[in-house]
Amino acid sequence: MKLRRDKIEVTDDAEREAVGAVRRLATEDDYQESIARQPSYFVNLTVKTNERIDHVTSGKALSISWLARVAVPGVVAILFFFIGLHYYVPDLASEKHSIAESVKALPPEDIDLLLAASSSETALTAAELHIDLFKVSNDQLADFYVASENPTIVLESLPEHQLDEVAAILESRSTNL
Amino acid sequence: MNPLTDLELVQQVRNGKRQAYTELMRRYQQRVYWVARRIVGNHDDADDVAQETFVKAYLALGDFRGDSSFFTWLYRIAVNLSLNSVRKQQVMNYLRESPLISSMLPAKDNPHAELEMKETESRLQKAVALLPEKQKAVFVMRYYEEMSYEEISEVLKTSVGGLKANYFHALKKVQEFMKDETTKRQD
Repeated sequence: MKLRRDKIEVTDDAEREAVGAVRRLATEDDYQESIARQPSYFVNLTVKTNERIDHVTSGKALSISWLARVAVPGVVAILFFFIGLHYYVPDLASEKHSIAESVKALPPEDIDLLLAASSSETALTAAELHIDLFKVSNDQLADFYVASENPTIVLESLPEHQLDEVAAILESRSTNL
Repeated sequence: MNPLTDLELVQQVRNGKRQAYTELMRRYQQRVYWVARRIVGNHDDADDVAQETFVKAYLALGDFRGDSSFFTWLYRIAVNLSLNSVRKQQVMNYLRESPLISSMLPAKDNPHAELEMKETESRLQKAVALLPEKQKAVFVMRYYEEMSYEEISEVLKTSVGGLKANYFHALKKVQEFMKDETTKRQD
């Protein structure tokens, strides 16, 4: 909230004094009121205003005003609605149609491949779903050690118990060779 | 015979008697013109605002409920239109400063008249023109029109205390400006 620091209590005397000061400073030239001093001006003002009221309330002006305020914005809004509907709403029916069409357009052997793939057993078993993808077996670690350019880093990063197991596997592989 | 009151005339206008509205215009056009003239600062815009005020009032007469006097209601329209006109002037002046945009704007009807007006413009008018919108409206109504704070409060829908402070600030600014101008003239 904005606080007013310069909040002043204006007394009637202070106001009178300030008005007096302004009036004293405002000399004759401060009261020039040129054109409107002529009495004919206000007679003309009445006539001009009446003409303007006639114009504004005439049937033509009202219909132009109605066109400008209601009809034109209404038509524009309806047009925008339909344009929006055409461009921005996804046409799901035509998408379905296009997938079916594209499958039909494939060569017969590809369609057969697709059918064979879809009929083969690709579903995962419940046990497979619980496999931890990030769990690495000791065999895999041993393979990685053999393939690695810098095997010491691999060994250093292993925990103690796993290190023994990997060492045993590597040893058994070397004896088999 | 007693002249009809404003409300009686308004009622007659509502009943389709257009002549009654001309009578209302005759009653208040001078005051409406002068309040506009003092806020907008020139005759042409004040003339336009005065006409527009009566046209708007005529069209909105159906909404006039008589909560305030007809004159207060009319005055409110005049002050709002005058302040709008000042804002338009400010925008136009700003645009005229840009060489690119000013070439696209219509030329002023009579550049000599504008120059003449600037020369004869009084120090008081210049000082009023520099006031912020609200202070300008309050100053015009209180200083020139000598309206009571209660009447101004009805027109501007502001508290009397706030109006008093606005008027006092405006007086001080006008006083300061005019003193500076006097010193400049003497130099």
